[in-house]
Amino acid sequence: METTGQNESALACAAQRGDKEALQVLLKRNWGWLKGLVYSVLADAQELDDVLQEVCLRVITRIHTLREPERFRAWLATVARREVLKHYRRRTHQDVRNSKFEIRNLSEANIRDPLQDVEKSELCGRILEAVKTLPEKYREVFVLAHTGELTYAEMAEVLDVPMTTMQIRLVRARRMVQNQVIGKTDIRCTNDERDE
Amino acid sequence: MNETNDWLEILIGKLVDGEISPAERKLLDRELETNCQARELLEQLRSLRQQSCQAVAAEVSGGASAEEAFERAWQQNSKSTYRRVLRFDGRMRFAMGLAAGLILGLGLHFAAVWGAKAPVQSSGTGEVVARESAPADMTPGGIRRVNVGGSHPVTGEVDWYVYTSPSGEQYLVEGVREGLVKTADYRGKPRPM
Repeated sequence: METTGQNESALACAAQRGDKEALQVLLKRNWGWLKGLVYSVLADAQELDDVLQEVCLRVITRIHTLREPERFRAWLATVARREVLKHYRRRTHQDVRNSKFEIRNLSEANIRDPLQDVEKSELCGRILEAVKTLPEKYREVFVLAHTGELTYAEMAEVLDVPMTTMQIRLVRARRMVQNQVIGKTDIRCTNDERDE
Repeated sequence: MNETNDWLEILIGKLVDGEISPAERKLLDRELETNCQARELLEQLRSLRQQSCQAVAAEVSGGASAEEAFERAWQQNSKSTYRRVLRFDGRMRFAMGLAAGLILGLGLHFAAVWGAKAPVQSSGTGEVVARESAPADMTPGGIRRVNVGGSHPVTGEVDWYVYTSPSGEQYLVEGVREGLVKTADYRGKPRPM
């Protein structure tokens, strides 16, 4: 992980000097979690591509403003969040986060044989619905953890929080999702948020 | 949920995420041996993780790849850079036009001023003759003075003109800077025109 970080730092330096290939490699390496992060903030898979395109453009034009190349991931996450917010402002619809969170039909997605496991698809749908209702900080960590791209340390870096905070958020996010999926009302959420 | 449960959930979470250290694994194993609720929670979280990974992957796995998005963004950036250059060029053209206009205007202004100060020599009767300064030998003898606007003559650094009427009479006319005709102060002898 340290080696990866050092490599990314070197790549970020090269990208700042105008190395197109280095920048492309950086984005490719971080693409998986970046999509997850944008999705978690945007809460809309339909517009994911548009926002990611804007993020790429912003990274290309603003890479020279990166002060600490070793913190490229945190910087990228900040850029992505800002682009999502800009995207929100551009949209005419209000309260998109709650009303436009569309759960795609899983039969259209990349599950290979959904008809053989309808219950599983329904469960996935319920999970996504539960994720929709999470507060943003829990939704972010939940989606990042389930993109399978980042370690705990990397997630903490991306979210710019201490690792223990990230772990607690993840536990609580899972608890809330689990309770929603099995039909419980999570009354501990407010208390948990206060305790953090 | 108390702190013990939080700690247990964190450990189970680490286990299902593959982040648990050997020491933590030992602790958790001991807990799992004695705590049936912990075992149940482990199974629930394992299942939840598996389903959540599928659900999230289904949501975010489509769309453009990193390479495609990057290339499009790169091209878009190149185009906008080219447009910026064009805009800059347009501004430069505007500035150059403005500068040229200014220079031309100043040139015309100074040409007009210079033209106004240029001496005009009279070649015959009936013309206004202008001189930049009065000749030293000029005297008021043969010239009829025009006294406009008061009994005292006004002295000043002005242009003056000698006007010879068709009947041969000579008039000394002060410059017309302010649209007024004033008497001029002169010395010396008038020179024949």
